[in-house]
Amino acid sequence: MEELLHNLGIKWQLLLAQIVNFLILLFLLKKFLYKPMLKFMRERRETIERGLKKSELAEIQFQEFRKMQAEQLTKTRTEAQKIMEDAKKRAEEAKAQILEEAKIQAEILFSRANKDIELLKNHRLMEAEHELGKMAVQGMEYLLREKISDDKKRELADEAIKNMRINLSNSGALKPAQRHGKI
Amino acid sequence: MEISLAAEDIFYIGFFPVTNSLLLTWIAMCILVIFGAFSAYKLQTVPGRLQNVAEFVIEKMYDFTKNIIGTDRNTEKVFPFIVTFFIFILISNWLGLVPGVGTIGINVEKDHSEHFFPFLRAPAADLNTTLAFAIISVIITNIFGISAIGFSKHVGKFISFKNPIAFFVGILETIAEVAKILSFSFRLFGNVFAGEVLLIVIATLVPYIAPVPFLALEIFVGFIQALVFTMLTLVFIKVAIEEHH
Repeated sequence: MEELLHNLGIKWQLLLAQIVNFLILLFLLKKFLYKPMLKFMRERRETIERGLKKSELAEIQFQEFRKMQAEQLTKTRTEAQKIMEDAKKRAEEAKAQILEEAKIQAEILFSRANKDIELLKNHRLMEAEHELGKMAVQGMEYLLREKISDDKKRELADEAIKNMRINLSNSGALKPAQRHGKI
Repeated sequence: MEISLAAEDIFYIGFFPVTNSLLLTWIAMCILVIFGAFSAYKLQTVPGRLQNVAEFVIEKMYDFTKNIIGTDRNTEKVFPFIVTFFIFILISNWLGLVPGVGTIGINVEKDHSEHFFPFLRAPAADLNTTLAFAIISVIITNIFGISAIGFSKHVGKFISFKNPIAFFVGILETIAEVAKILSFSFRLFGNVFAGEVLLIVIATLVPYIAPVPFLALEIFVGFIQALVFTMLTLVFIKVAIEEHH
C-alpha cells in the first residue's frame, strides 16, 4: 500500500493542500463572483419582467383609451348630425312659416291695393260724371243761347248723368271691381 | 524519454513539498479569482465583455444545476460547489495545454540518473489533485444528503437492519461510495495524464503540425472531463437528497 501510494505520487500534505485550495477558491469565488452576480442577475430579471408587465399594461390602457376615443368620436358625430338635421328641419319650418306669412301679407297688401284702386276709380268716375254734366249743360246753354236757371241746370245734368249711367252699365264699363277680382 | 506518474517536487517549504502541479493549481486559482472578482466588481445592467462571459457561465451552470436538482432552495446551496468544480477543472486542464507547461524544466541528478523536472504540470495530471476533488465531491454529496433528508434516513441508506436485502444493499452502497472516490479521481487523472503523454509522444515523433489536431482534441477532452466530473457530482447529490423508495 505504502509502495503503491508512493508510486502514484500521493502525499497527504499535497492532498490536504489541494483540498484547502479548492475550499479557498470556493470561498473567494462565492463571495466575490457567484453571490453578487446571481443577485444582480435576479434583480435585473425582475426589473425587466416588471418593465415588460408595465409596458403590457400601458398597451392595454392605450387600446382602451383608443376604443373609448373612437366611441366618443362616433357618438359626437351622430350627435352633431342629429343637431344639424334638427337645425335643418327647424330652418325649413321657419322658411315655410315665413313664406306663409309673406303670402298672407302679400294678399293683404294686394287686396288693400285693389280696394284703393277701386275707390280711386269710383272717385274719378264721379268726378268725370260731374264734369260731363257740367259740360253738357254748358253745351246746351250755348245751343239755346240762353241762360238756364240753376234748377233747370241741375235737372238737366242729372238727366244726362242718368242716361250716361244707363249707357255705361249696358256696355259693361261700370264693373271695375268685378274685373279686378278676376286677376 | 521518461514520464513520471507522480508530480515532481520543485522546492520545499519546511517539510511541505511544492510540486509543479501545485504551482499550476495556484496559478489557476489566481486567474479565476482575479477574473471572477474583476467581472463582478462593477456590475452593469448592460454587461461589458468580461461580465458577459461570467454571466453566461454562471447562468448556464445555474440552469444546469437547477434542471437536475429541481428546487431553488437546494440549487442555491449546491450551485457554488458545482460551478467551482467546473471552472476550476476546466481552467486547470486548459492551462496544462499551454505550450511550455510540462516541457520547460531542468534536468536534475537523482538516484544516480538524470531526471527531467518540468516547472509546471497540469493540476489534474497529479493524483493528489483529482483525489482531493473526488473526496470533496463525495463528502459534500453526503452532507447535502444529511441536510436534505435527515441524518438517520441518510445513514439508513448505508447501514440498515430492516431486512436482509436492505442490509446488503447498504453494504453495496457503502462500497459504491468508496468506489466513487476512486472512479472520480482516476477518470480525471487518467484522461489528463494520458493527454499529456500523448502530446509529448506526438511532439517527439513529429514536432510540427501533427500535434495540432491532438491539441484540439485535448482542449475538447479537458472540457468534457470538467463537465463529466461536474455532472456526476450533481447526479450523485440529486440521488443523495432524495429518500429511498
